[in-house]
Amino acid sequence: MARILVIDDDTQLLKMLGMMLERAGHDPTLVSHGREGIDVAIKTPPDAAIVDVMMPDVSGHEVCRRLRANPGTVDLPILILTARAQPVDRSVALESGATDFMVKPVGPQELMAKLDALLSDEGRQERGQVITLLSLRGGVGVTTLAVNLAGALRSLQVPNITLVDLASNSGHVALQLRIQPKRTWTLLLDKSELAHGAVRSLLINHPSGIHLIAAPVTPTHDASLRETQFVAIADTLVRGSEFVIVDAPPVLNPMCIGALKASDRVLLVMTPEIASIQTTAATLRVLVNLGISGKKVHLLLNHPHGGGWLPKEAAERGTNRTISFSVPYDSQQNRALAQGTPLALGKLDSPLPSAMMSIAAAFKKA
Amino acid sequence: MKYTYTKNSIPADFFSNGHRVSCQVAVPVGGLSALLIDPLNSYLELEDAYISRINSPGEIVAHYSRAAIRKENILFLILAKREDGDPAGVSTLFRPAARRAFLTVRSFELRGTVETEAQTSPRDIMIQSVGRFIPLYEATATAALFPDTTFDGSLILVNKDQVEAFCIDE
Repeated sequence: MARILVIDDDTQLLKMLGMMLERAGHDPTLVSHGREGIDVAIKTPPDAAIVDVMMPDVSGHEVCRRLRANPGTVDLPILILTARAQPVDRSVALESGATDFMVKPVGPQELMAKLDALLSDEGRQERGQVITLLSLRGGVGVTTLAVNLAGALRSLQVPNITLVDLASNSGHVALQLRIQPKRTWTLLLDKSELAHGAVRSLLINHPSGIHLIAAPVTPTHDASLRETQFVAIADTLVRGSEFVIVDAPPVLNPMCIGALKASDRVLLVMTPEIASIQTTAATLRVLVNLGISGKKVHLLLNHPHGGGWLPKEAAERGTNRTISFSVPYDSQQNRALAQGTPLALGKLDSPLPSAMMSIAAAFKKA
Repeated sequence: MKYTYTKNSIPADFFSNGHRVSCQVAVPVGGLSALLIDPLNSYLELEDAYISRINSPGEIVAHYSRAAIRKENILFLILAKREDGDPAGVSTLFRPAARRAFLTVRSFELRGTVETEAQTSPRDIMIQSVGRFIPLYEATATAALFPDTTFDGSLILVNKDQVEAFCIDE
């Protein structure tokens, strides 16, 4: 049994919802004004709330915003139930802090299924892992590895994976997943406070089940989230995801530093050639200066094209670190890129997805 | 003019050049179409009207329990259910052809299906159809200045006087 607060100015519907909830074994509190609903929720936080949008005194959006601003209800699961059924209504509801959104009229089974999902999400509350892939030398295949790591985790039946593309100079994660993003993290640039609904409203669902926060496709001038903004974003995402995979930009801008600080693991990607080894060695020193624990940094040696590489030992000598993971060249990667289907989401027996499956399995086990 | 009203009010989204009005409309047995077609009333009476600006159509900027909207200034209105517009539904005698249509009204593009006799031209539809509004089924409206902003409905009724371009497939 859960304590459910229902806020709706339609008193007939309110009674009906109350009966539905009681019949499902819950303990409903029914309130017909937004302002009163906020007071009740803050005074005695329920397990979940169902909130209408169109209410005369305080709108459902405002109810969400105020509950998110209160420490006692900041994580309260809120289901918006409204007759405003347009895509933009969903976005605004999630931006204002709602956890989920349903359109009236709604059947009892549908409503209870949604409520059960909200309550079980709330109960889970386990924190996932943030893994950032970084190379301060561009062109070493960071995006391909990030996408395929997410794909490999999905192929291992990990249910909730979020990919975040932090490129400010034309992001390619969406391209690799054949997604044309309409929403990108640039929408958060001028927000002083980040409600978790605003972050969740950016999530784009890929058919594989992977969620994406996309980067702008058009290069932007000096666009970067603040360090603290990204830490807050990661904190929001990690509550609803087993893994948050961050494709970091090849520059130590504030959002990249935020990603590194928020990460449980950093995969420092390099290729076995002199310039990459030198950059990686320098990056390791910078990470220490930034206070990033060496324990969470792993070196990943990538081979984005065939032949002409230095041996692995040279990379280890140059960086004075052990290479944790090695990903071989895969001739099928170019075709996968053109088709918009990451290898790790399809043909798992070729070299790149095989290697990524091993890495994913190691992280999953941890 | 007196109507026989059902007890039902239907939800509707009205769009003017600058605003979206989400409200309830008390409809007679002939559905919303009967109110729209009534030549003796220039206004529609709305209940529980929530007003948003077109550049931020999800945010509510005002609410009033009673409102009226001038029919000629409506660009289009969206209904979630087809039968809310026309409870009589489709005639069993007249089997219209469903044809894909594209219309522009000021600041919006509308895509959907019109049901007409085959070969009817857009001009004929505009001239011969009854009433001020053209029904567009399974339709989407896109704000021309904010193309990421779309509105869907089983039925969109488009004000003929506001139509700029009207295109259909053969």
